[in-house]
Amino acid sequence: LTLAVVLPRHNLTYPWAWPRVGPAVRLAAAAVNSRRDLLPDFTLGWVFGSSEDRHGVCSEMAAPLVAVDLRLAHHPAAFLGPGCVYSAAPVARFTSHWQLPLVTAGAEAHGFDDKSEEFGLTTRAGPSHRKLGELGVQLHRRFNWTRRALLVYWDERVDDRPYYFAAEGLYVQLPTLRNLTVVDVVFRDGGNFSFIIQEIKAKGRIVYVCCAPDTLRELMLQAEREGLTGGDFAFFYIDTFGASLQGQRFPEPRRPWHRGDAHDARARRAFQAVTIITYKEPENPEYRPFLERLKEEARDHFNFSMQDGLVGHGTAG
Amino acid sequence: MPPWLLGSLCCVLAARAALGGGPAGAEEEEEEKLIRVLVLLPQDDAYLFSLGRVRPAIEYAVRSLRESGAGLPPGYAFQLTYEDSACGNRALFSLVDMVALQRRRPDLLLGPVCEYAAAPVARLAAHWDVPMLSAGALAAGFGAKGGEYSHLTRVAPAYAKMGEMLLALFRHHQWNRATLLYSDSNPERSCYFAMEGVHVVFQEEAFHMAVHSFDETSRHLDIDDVVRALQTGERVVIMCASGDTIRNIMLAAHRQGMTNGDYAFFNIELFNSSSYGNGSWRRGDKHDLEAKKAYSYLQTVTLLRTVKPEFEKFSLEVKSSVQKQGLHEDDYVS
Repeated sequence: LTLAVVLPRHNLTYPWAWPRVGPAVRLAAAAVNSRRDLLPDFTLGWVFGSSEDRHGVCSEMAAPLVAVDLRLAHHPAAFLGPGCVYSAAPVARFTSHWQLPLVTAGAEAHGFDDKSEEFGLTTRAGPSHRKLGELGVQLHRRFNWTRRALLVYWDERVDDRPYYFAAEGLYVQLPTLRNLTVVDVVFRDGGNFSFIIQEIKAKGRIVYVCCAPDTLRELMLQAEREGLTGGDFAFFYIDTFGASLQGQRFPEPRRPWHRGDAHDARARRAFQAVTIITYKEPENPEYRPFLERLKEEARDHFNFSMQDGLVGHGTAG
Repeated sequence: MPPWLLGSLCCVLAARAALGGGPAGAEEEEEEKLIRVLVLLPQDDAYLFSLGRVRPAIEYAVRSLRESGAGLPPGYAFQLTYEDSACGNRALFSLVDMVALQRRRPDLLLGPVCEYAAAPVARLAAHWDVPMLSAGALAAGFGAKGGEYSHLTRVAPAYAKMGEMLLALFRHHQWNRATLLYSDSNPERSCYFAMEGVHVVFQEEAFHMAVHSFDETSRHLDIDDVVRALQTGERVVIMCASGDTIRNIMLAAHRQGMTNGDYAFFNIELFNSSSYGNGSWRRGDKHDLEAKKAYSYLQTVTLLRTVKPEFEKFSLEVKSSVQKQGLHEDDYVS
């Protein structure tokens, strides 16, 4: 049985880059093949195709071409990945046409929730933004926030738009709370966030922020200057894979406000108004030993040294 | 269609002959001399370029090549396969399924025409080194031949060409500002792409443009509001929408006193055919007289029908083929 893997071959900015996921696939295949009760009469193998285009970014054009080539050459029984939303969609449409299952730890966007047609055989093993939205709903119920929520997200439209899709998860689920008004504001072109600050003042008080960690810090510094971090506003920073919490040594998370510059003290005060929401890392006993074996596998076969906690990026392991 | 189609088919043949035919292996001599053509067009006759309408033209081309003897090396023959593109992803799936089944790629792709159907097929064609011809794929994006659309040859004037034509007109009048008004309603987004063709060319000239889009199928559409919004904009208005909507716009403009020489209205009529709506001012209703007056201030940009003699013969032959299939003659535009 052949598993066709479509993931970014080199680019480590993606949580599901091959150097991270590859060792897990190796371990999984070895584990399955060593047991006679799993898939008897079959040997599990895999073939790989990169979802990156010639610029090294995950591509909605390159991924389906690679998927087609793998399908025609190897007749895989199932597909693993892509993780990027815009790469996964066309590949999933193909696998659905071929009636093959597709499993991914990515593709978190709301669009993939629709199992009625083209994504009926697509299974997401990782976080989905629907779950994020449901968490938001629970938060509002818990704290009885019934009036309004503001979604602030960064969107330059030239990448896989992770912040847009995260905000979308909340945007779709929060309105299930009756009478709650959800407003969204997009920002790009860094530097002066005064426009955003004004929007927050006018439309806050519960504010969800989706953007890069450095951008968040910049935004919070300006918010602090405008007096928004005193307790009147609640900021929730969506950080699915804990990018802002990279500890030097797991499990100590780094101080997300800390950059080693002159603004650290102010940033620290500002971050008191911020709650960071991340995907929870597994706590079951199998996880730690798995991580160790994964790191060995990565070092031995992928020439890649994985950092503690997988750089905060969970795998589907 | 045929003159260039004949030429193109000959080129494909020559290339194939030069390369020594197809893949080697256990195939018989006869099989190697087959030019496999996959035609991807919509089955639905609501489209101007449906399988039913275009197939006679393709068969005419193949027949002419065979009869003329020229350009076709001895023993070579075309093998045509027609698949429904459904103006969407079905085109891509058909191509991939065919290759999976026959374990070989086609030698030539004809179509798709619809923009969103053509794009992924063109990318796969480039990836697999298969030439592709289309009378569609008119959007600006397909002009980039450096990468994924390298194997696509478009045989009809792309929207950018229409943009160039309007540019020439603007230069003649020494205009450099315009309002672009279009309906972004149907899934194929023909008016959006048509306007994009103009926008791309105008932007390069640094013309100032105000762009307004609306949904002509929306129940909440207020044409009077749309037209009123034009009054704060530019004097030259370029529009693209269905025939009925254009008429409503011109009637509203007339009522609001805009058809007096202050404004120049241009209407992009994509194809001069009843399939795309009636482009005339006449509807047989009570507004006909008003519409007629209003339309005297409207200039329509459309495709020029070729007047070459070969076209007449082709046109007659194909029309009789088409009539046998029961399609209405008026709907047929070559």
